[in-house]
Parts: sequence; C-alpha cells; structure tokens
Amino acid sequence: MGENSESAMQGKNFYESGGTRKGILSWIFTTDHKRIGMLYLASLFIFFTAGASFGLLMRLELIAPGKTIVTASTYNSFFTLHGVIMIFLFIIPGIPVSLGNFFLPLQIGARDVAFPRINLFSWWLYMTGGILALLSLFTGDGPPDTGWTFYAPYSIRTGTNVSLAVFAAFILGFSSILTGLNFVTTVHRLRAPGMSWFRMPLFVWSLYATAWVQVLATPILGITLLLIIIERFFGVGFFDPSKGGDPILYQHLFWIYSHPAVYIMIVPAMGVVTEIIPVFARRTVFGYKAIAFSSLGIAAVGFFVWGHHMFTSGISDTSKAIFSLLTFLVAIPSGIKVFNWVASLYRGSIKVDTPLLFVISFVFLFCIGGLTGLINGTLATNIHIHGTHFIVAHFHYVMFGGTAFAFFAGLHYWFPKMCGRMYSEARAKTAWFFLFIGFNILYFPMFIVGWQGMPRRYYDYLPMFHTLNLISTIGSWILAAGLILMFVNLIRSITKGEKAGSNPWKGTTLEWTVPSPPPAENFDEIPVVTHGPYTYE
Amino acid sequence: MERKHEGHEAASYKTYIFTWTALVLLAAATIAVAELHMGAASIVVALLIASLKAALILYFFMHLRYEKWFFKLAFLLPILVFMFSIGFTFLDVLYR
Amino acid sequence: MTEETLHKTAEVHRDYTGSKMGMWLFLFTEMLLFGGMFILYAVYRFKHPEEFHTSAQDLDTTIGAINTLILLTSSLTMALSILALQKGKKRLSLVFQVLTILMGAAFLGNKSLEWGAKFHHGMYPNSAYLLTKSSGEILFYGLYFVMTGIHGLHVLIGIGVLLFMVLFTMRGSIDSTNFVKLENSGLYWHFVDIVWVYLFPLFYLIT
Repeated sequence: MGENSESAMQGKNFYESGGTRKGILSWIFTTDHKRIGMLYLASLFIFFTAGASFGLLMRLELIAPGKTIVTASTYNSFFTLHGVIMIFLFIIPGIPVSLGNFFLPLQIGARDVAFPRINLFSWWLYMTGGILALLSLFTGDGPPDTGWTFYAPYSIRTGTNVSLAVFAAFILGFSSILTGLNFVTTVHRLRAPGMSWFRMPLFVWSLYATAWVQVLATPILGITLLLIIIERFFGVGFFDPSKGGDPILYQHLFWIYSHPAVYIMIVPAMGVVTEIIPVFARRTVFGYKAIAFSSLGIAAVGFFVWGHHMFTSGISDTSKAIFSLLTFLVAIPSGIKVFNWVASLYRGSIKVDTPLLFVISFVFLFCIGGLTGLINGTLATNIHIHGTHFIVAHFHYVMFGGTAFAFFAGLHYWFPKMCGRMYSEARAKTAWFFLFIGFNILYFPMFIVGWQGMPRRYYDYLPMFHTLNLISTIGSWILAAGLILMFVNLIRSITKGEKAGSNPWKGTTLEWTVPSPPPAENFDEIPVVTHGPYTYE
Repeated sequence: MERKHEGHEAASYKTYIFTWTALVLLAAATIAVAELHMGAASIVVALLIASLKAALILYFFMHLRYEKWFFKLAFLLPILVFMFSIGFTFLDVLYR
Repeated sequence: MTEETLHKTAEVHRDYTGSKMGMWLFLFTEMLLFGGMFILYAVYRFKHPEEFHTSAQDLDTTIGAINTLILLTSSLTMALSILALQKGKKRLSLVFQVLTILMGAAFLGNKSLEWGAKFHHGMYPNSAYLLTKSSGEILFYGLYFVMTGIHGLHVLIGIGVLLFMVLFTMRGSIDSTNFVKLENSGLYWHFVDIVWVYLFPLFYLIT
C-alpha cells in the first residue's frame, strides 16, 4: 500500500505488493483489509482444527458407555475447550473477520475499512486471546472444566485454570468490538458514490446489523468476565450465595451478551447465503428490503430473549412467560429470510455448483435447527429437554449446519476472487457430500437420545443410548473425512488450481469488477454505482 | 474528505463556563436534596439530577449539539439496550 | 506502513466524522460495560435497601463532593483546551490540557486516600471484618470498590491519553486544523466524568 500504490495499480495484485516489509512481516504488520482477511482465515483454520479435534475426541469417548479413552475430568476440559474455541475463536469472529474483512470494502466500493490499523490491532488481540485460551490447557492447575458458559459459583470456586481462559475470552471480546465499530463506520463513511443504502449487497447489510450487535452486546460480556476474574482474585461476593450474592444474576449478565452473540454468529451466514443464491439462480433476489430489514430485526429481537437459556435456573414465572413469548418472535424475521431465499430460487436458471450445494444444505439444516429452537423456547417442553443432547443437536444444527456450512459456501464462492484460482469442482462436491451426510449422521441421533433423556456434558451414559451414540460417533468420522477433503482441495488449489478470471460465476456485485486477486488498493478508480446489486437480464 | 469541522462556530468559552456553572449548581442541588431524606423518592430525584448533568455534558462539552443526526440517534441505542436489559432482569427479580 | 505513507493516506482521507463516529461507538461499548455493573447495583440495592443506606453513611460525602467538583472542572478545562486549539492558541490549549491532567491526578489522589482509610479500618473485599457484616453491606462495599475502582482505572487511562496529547500538541502533530485526536480524547474524558456523575449520588447520597 501507500508508496507502492501507483505500481500496484499497474497489474500487481495484493499478494505481490506488500509494502516496505518483506515475508511474514509484510503480513503480520499489514493494514490491507484483504491481507488481514487472509490472516484471519488462516488463524480461523488453525483454531477450527483444534476445536474440531476436541469434538472428535468427545465423540470417541462417547462411542460406548463407561470410560472409553478419557476420565470424567478430562472430558469436562474437552467440552469446555471445544466450546470456548469454537464459540469465541471460530464462529463469533468467523465470517465477519475473514470474508467480511476481505469483501466488505470491495462490495461497497472502498479502498479499505475505515480504521485499517485498528483492524490489524483487532487481529493481534484475536491471536493473543487465542493463544491464551490454548495456554490455559497446559498451565495453572489443570485445564478449565466449567463449560464455555463459566457459570458461577462453580467458576469462582474451581481450582482449575479458569482465570486465564476467562481473560482470553475477555480479550477476544475486545477484538470483536473493534471489528464491529470498524465495520459500522466503514459502511457509514466509505460507500462509493451512488452506493445508497438500498444498493448495498445484502451481505453488507448483514455485516452491518452484526456489527451493531458486536458493539452493543459484547461489553456486557466483557464486564461479566472481568467480574469473574475479580471474584476469583478478591472474593468480592457478587455471585457467591454465602456472601449474599446471586448466581442467577451471573446468568442474566452472561446471556444478555451471549444470546445476541448467537445472532452475531448466524446473521453474517445468512448474508453469505443471500449473496450466493441470486448468482446461481441467475435472477435478482426476491424481497431485497425484507431481507435487509429482517437482518436488523433479528439483531434487535436478539436482545430481548436471553431468558430462554435460564428456564430451569429458577427465574420468576412472569419473566419465563415473557421470554418464551419473545423467543417466538425470532421465528418471524428468520422465516422471512427462508421464504425469500426459496422465492429467489423459484423459476431461476439454477446452476448447481458447490457454493449453491452448501447454501441449499444451509437452508435445510437451518430449518431443522430453527424449528427445534421453537421446541426449546416453549416453557413446558423446555423443562423436559433442558440440558440434554437435544439442545446439543439443536445448536449444532444452527451453528454448524447453519453458520459453518454458509462459511464453507462463502469460502468456495469467493475462493477464485481471493486466490485467483479455481478449486477442483469434483473434489469439492465429494467433500460436500461427505460433510452433509456425516453431519446428519453425527447430529440427528442426538435429537433422539436427548429427547429420551440423555444429558449433555457427561462422559458416560446408560446402555440404552449405546446404539445411537455409536452411529453418531461414526458420523463424526464421516464428517471429519469431508472436512479433510474440503480443506485439502482448497489449500491445494491455492497454488495448483486453474487460473480463474475476474468473474467466474458472473456475479454482479462490485468485487467481481476487479481482477482476481484484487490489487492492493482494490479499485483503479472508485466506481460510481448506478443500480442495485443483483441485476440480471 | 471533510476538512471543515461542522458547527464549531457556535461553541465559545462563555458557553462552556455557563455549562460548568450549571453542573456545579446541580451537584450542590443533589447533595442538598439528599439532606431532605425523601425516602424512596430520593433515588428518583438523584437519578434525574444526574441525568440532567449527563445531558449537559453530552450536549455541550461532548458537542452532541453540533453533531450530525447519526450521533444523536445512535446514542439512543446503548441507552435502549441498557433500559431493556435492566427492565427484563427486573421482571425476574421483582416476581421471583 | 511507513511513517510518510501513513501521513500520505492521512492526507488523502482525513475523515473527521468517521474518526468521531468510531470514538462514539467505542464510548457506547464503555457505557454498556458500566451498564452491566449498574444492573448488579440496581438488583442488590433493591434487595437490601436498608443495608445500602447504613453502609453509605460510612462513606465521606465531603471527599465525594470534592471529587465531583474536581472532575466537573476538569471536564471544563478539557473542553476549553479543544476550543483554544481550534482558535490556534497552542500555549493556552497546553495549559488547559495540563490542568486537566493535574485534576485527574488530584481525583485519584483523593480516591486513594479514601480507599486507604477504608483499608485501614479493615474494610476491603473478602476481609475478615467485612465478612462479619450483613450480606447487604458486603455487596455494597463490593460494588463500591469494584465500580469506583474500574472508574478510577478509566481516569488513569484518560490521564495517559492526555499525556500523549500534550506531547502531540507540543510537537505540532495536532494543531488548529487537525485536532480530532484531542477531540476524541476529550470525548473519553467527558464520558468518564459522566460515569462519576452517576456514581456519586448512588454511593455517597443514599437516604
């Protein structure tokens, strides 16, 4: 960037114009949003692998009743670290920091985000948080065993290394806040001339809604985690019943953030889906404004429903009823989106490539996850399934089947733009097949065992659940095979793939008007936008 | 791109000193009111005075008066989030 | 990025509104950070009104009032320093900035005297003496130390930021045409003042 920008504009892509620094330094000190996006992508990959490994180990432990490979306390650390890594290091930052960082400025016709150096700083914070989270495994008096929710008073009293893990999550929250305020400012200030609010691609709308949630919800988590650390070091007593504190208040504070955080995870994924469907159906998206406003709607309603995580915690009946009612409201904007996606596909000239396969599986799996969410949100049924594997199945359908599948869709869709080369379509489709089949074999049995009463977070279970757990564990291997195949295909194609042109999918948004990979400053000249994002003949 | 700083012509040393005087008077008022021992109403009065002080600081010292609509409107969002958070928490605490 | 390219990009788009927008968004997060603690305060005061009242009697209203006066005045000098810089009066602006810093330090000095006296009486979180008290009092002092402590930390950070601003002003890297850094530091300083405006009656003036 900067002094190299003139030469960069003469055909150099952003990989080749690294500024004055060389090698790895040109990456870890870069302020180019595309390089930061790639940095995040690589880091996400590492942490996802770590989180997935813990998941596989948990499934292996559950292959048969009784102790199989690990002790009860090790299993507790596994699900804690699996949760902390997957939630705070993969799925919350996930799409915004990687695909969002790379494509938000491109899609609105900007040269970079509003605060490039803060963008880099937030990556540094992210890495610091990630490394601290992993360090908590090996230092102190044993890895944390509280679950990713760090519920008081256990998290205050346990002798394990909770303080470090909590501090890591605090830092990650700060990183998330910085990304959020960067994106809000970027969307407000750096749109290209003519890029009015309703000409923005819907991925940008979803990132915008998400960024607001990041700004407004994350600080509550920050203070809550800080209070846990203060409690552990100074014994103030806020959440300690023996000193008059109220542990349920911890749960309130925790979920005031962590429920909106669920929408930080899913809304950008919905944006990716909305971006891909028109391109592969060759027609404009149905209900542009409805989709844009439903993103904001989900973000807003997300702030009022946190109590549904606490139906069995002993909160008042009045609040249970109100939280349950409000929870059903989330179904409305989510439903609007699903119907609009289906309507966008209707009578389109559909081309079934890998991105669309992932998108269609997203819609299918998200519907299962979302509709079982209504079962969880109903007071009476919630008491039956609370804390069982039914919940585990529900949120993996939404988070993995939803967000991660959309992430994979976006990864394949934008791969040619990010790397300038095309992946192997045949391998990608095979990988998708393994992922989709493996996913359902892994998680669907959990609905059944959960409904039958198998609790979550135990390393052991009754013999009556054996068969379904065995099937589930086999599913985890199929899923892992799919993941390996997909990542090998993508990583291999970075260097070995066929060269992709600037617009292999015939997309109509601005990122497809620049070369692949894009030059350092994105656009030779800032484009002037004259029409909406999805205009097809 | 915008080198001009919107609306700062209106701010003056005098405005700031008036604002400060009002703030000090309100601080004195809140102490005086506390001496009256009004019971349950005292928290309401204390919070009203504090919010008035906060509004003065925001409006004059923090230049919210001169800012674009975005700043004025966006400012309502964290307040709304806080209100709803505390309100819904009290739905539990009040009726538990 | 090297120093001169940074300068170059800064020249290309010096987006004041954008910078301030970022700062305000950051302040929103700060508001909600304190908001979380105010939720705790509200619930525990609702549960233990009597104990909160009696504990508050033991706090020194005079010190609290002096600190209120100090912070309000520091907000005035902060605002004046920006105005002075805008009018090109660098020296005057520096005087106001230094005054602001000094008042911030005085606030912290007062605070540490106050805390020190409490510690001296064995009043600190988890102390044997405090644990003999009722749970309402334990919670009141817990909230008092945590909330004023985190607020004090913010004052300290504000002082640090302002020290940099003094340096920048002396070096001339912020001046009458380019003062958004000082203005953003001012926003932060005023915000910290606002937090105190609420903390003061909520801890010292409970009747």
